[in-house]
Amino acid sequence: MKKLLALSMATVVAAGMLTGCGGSKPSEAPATQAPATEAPAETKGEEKAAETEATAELSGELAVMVNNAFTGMEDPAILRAAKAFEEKHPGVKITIEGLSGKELISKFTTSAMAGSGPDVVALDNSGWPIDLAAMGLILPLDEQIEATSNEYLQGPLDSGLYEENYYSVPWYFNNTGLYYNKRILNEIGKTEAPANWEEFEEDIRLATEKGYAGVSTRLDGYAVFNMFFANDNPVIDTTGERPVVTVNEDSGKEAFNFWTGLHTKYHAFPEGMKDASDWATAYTTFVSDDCLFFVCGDWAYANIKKGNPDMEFGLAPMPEGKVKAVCLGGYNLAINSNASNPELAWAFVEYLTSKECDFVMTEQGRIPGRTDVDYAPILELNPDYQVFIDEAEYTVPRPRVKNAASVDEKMVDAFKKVFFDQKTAEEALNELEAELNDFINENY
Amino acid sequence: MKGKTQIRKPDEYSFRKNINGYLLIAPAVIAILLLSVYPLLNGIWISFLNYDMTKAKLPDFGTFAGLRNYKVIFSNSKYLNAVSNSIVWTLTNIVVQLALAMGVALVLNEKLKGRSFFRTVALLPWAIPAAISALTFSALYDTKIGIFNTILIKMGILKEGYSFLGNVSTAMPAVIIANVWKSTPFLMIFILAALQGVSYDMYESAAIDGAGKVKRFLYITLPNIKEPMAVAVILNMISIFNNFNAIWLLTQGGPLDSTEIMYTYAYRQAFVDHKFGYAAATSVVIFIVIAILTVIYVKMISSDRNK
Repeated sequence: MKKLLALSMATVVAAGMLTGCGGSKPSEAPATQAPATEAPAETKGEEKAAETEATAELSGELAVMVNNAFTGMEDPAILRAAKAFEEKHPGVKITIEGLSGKELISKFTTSAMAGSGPDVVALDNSGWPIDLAAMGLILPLDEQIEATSNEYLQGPLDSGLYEENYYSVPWYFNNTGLYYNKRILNEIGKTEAPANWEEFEEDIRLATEKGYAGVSTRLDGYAVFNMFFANDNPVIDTTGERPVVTVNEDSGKEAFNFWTGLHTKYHAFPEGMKDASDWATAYTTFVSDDCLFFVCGDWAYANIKKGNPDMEFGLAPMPEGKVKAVCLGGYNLAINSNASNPELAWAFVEYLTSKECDFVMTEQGRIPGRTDVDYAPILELNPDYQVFIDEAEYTVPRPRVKNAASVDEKMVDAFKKVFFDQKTAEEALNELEAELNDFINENY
Repeated sequence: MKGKTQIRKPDEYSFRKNINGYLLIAPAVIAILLLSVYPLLNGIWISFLNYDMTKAKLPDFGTFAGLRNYKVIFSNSKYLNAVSNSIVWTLTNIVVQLALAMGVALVLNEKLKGRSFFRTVALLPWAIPAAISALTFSALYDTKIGIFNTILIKMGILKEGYSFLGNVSTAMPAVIIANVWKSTPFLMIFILAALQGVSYDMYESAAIDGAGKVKRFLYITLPNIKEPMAVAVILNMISIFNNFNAIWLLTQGGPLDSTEIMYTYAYRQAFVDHKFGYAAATSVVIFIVIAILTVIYVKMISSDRNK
């Protein structure tokens, strides 16, 4: 019946007809496991040896679905990594499919609900692993994480934590930095990027007085969460049994007033920011050489260079509010509940997230989600990436709630209500708080 | 059985006689039953169930919810906004497209030099894939390099670039313009075909009787093409009401829900919020609207055949 559900939802999208959904419950994911306990060192060593022996006998076919940032180029590193894995295990055949983020999640969800889909999937750590875990479409990986020698970064690892079980492992992570236009910064009499919000506002005031746009970004949860996190407000506190909305507490009000105030006081955001429908195109507002700051992740660097080779720009850590904190982005790897060979799937996931495969990330300037990464190849490619690496220790995942994409939309809409001069910051924040409380009541 | 008249089926409907024909259409019928009818019925069923996929492990998942999903969506201001936007989207599109299609069809029905070439060019937007069309219009509306902003700034109407797709007041008109450009040729070709069926003799006689261009259009052209035109309008309305791509690719229903139509709302409920029960209920309403339009369309076709 799950097949029917998936088929039916595809009908909604493709044919513009009625949604048809299967009437039965989806089959449960394998029983939720209790958190694994620490194994004694010797036992762990024995397990490793046994595991090595077991992986040597791996065989079968494996379908892997990743974001097309890793497949859409000549001689993709991920294909080389897969080939090396196949050579190591002659009985294994790996197929890798690259899709854009939006296609990837809808295709995986539909196919997994239909009882099929790829064995391994790359998931945006902004909430996808939690949604899919709640739907029973991906496997818990606690035992595997406990046994592996890969040392995953806690922040990205936590982005896959649902009901005390880990459902994904970090593949790569990113965060945001502050890109700045060197010419405009010099023109306002500054030599260094701002270190805190006070300096940031001062620079923006000076730049807008000279007719420049102050700061641009993409209106997306990734950027809006930064504003709250940097002022020590988690938006939704998920540390207790039930999520609690904190967005309208004093620290939240202060953060929202500060960022929306950049519009109401200085009209700091360029008009083109309203056009940025995805992160890949958001940089266009910055490369026009008339905007002082741009808040974005590592992927913008090459685009900015290519978009305006004559423009001199620099990269600095995000200015500090009450605390040092930036929002986590990036992708995790997870295993489909329908995977016919979960052992093989995990072996490939473990391999792809191991030191051995760091080249898949570093060749593209991506930062692997482990603690023992050799950053030299990334810094050789681009020394400015030190900013993102340094920020890793205070990179914070979004609130771990189901349907986090909906929270993202609400956050962005609140900001837009002020940016579009429809509401005051106070009204918008009150509405956001009410919407988030309704959201929690509906989902928990 | 006395007195009861036995009515014999005419031979042409005999199953035995037409066995080969039935066998030939069987795969298509089975495919339609499996891929359309069965999911459709299940979609209706799901709209009456508790079907929040992120609560799939809870005991009340998949249980009967009665009309709860409908109550929830009808009391949701975002859904009501989507209904209102759907009406604006469909009606504005159809009125503008009809006016433009009629104008272009009348011109292309005249004896022009290079008429075939112009007819081909007029059809091109319809043949362009939706994604390419959306990309083109995104570029045309761009605040920095878009042709609309460039022209308006050069004319002195705007001081600086304006985000047509990013502002609440202009997003809906902007997506309507993009869709009118893409979909008008479909309506135009229907009207053009109907125009070619109007006898030239009638125009000639009317001209001899002193009828001007407007009178000839009102009393000869319109009455002769109104039936095929009505059929084309209904077909086009179904297609506009159902047009997910035109909006999703340009604005994804934003900003601030200003271009959210019922279809994008249903998609968001299913694939962002994972509330398949609400999505199914929304889709049932969409289905009812389309079913009504389809019935009108079928009646028009059959009355046309009966004449």
